[in-house]
Amino acid sequence: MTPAFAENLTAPWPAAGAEIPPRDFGPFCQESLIRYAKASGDDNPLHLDPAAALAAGLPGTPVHGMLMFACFEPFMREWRPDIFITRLAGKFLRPVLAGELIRVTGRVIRSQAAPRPWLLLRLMARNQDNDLAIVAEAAALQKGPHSLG
Amino acid sequence: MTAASGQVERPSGREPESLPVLRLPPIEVRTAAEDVACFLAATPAPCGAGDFVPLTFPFRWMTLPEVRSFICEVIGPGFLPLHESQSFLYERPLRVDSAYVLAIEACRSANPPRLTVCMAVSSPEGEGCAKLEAVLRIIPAFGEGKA
Repeated sequence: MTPAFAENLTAPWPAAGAEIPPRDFGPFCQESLIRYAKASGDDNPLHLDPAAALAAGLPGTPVHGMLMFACFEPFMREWRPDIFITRLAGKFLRPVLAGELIRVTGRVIRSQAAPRPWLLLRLMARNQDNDLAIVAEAAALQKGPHSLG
Repeated sequence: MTAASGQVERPSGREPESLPVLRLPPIEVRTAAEDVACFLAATPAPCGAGDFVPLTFPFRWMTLPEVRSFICEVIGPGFLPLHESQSFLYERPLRVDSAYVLAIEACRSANPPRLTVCMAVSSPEGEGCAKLEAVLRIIPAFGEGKA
């Protein structure tokens, strides 16, 4: 059991309005896009070939949307290691280019403490210019003796 | 493309406009430890998370050759998919080094043209584990076709 997990077993269940501390991910260099393309199978040349990106009207290769999307899980689980994320849904609004980082923020929209602790979260990922790149929503249950997670 | 039994429930709960739903035959996959490790190394992983399958890992099954060619066939030549939204719905976490079965279906909608791809992940015994939905905007390929 990690110290953070142990701490959150006794920490009060977050109330609606609670903020998750913002966290930066990246910068996502071209090598990280190549690595993600290999791991995910998403080898769309748009992400890997600057000429393809230019032809699509982008000044550089865009970071895979799903690579940025993958940041939400560590963001939530490092805030509350005691949760099982049951749902994560989001919309890709704006490309983030290779070499840039994203800032992820989150807020508790709804919270239920009983019978089983449950949270609904609003998540956002913004680019370096503070433009919204992804808006997402997640639902999570507190892990427990009867937890599926 | 052939029809598979069963219908994939959409995580978003939305039904695309009433165009034919196309289904792939079930696909057997595995959360091989080396694939999971490769995925974890390529994405930001939770600190001290240990041996686990990342929440977005099943997305890599959307890029399997048979799924990719299915999507390309539905979209048609001269057009490209642009990832517009994505959702994951979990009933239970996936386990490392375990076998799963995918049920995949896709439906096109118009105005604007979109393809919604739904994937249900089940255990070989038929126990539901997760559902994914990817909404792809269909755009003309560079210098080809017309919207």
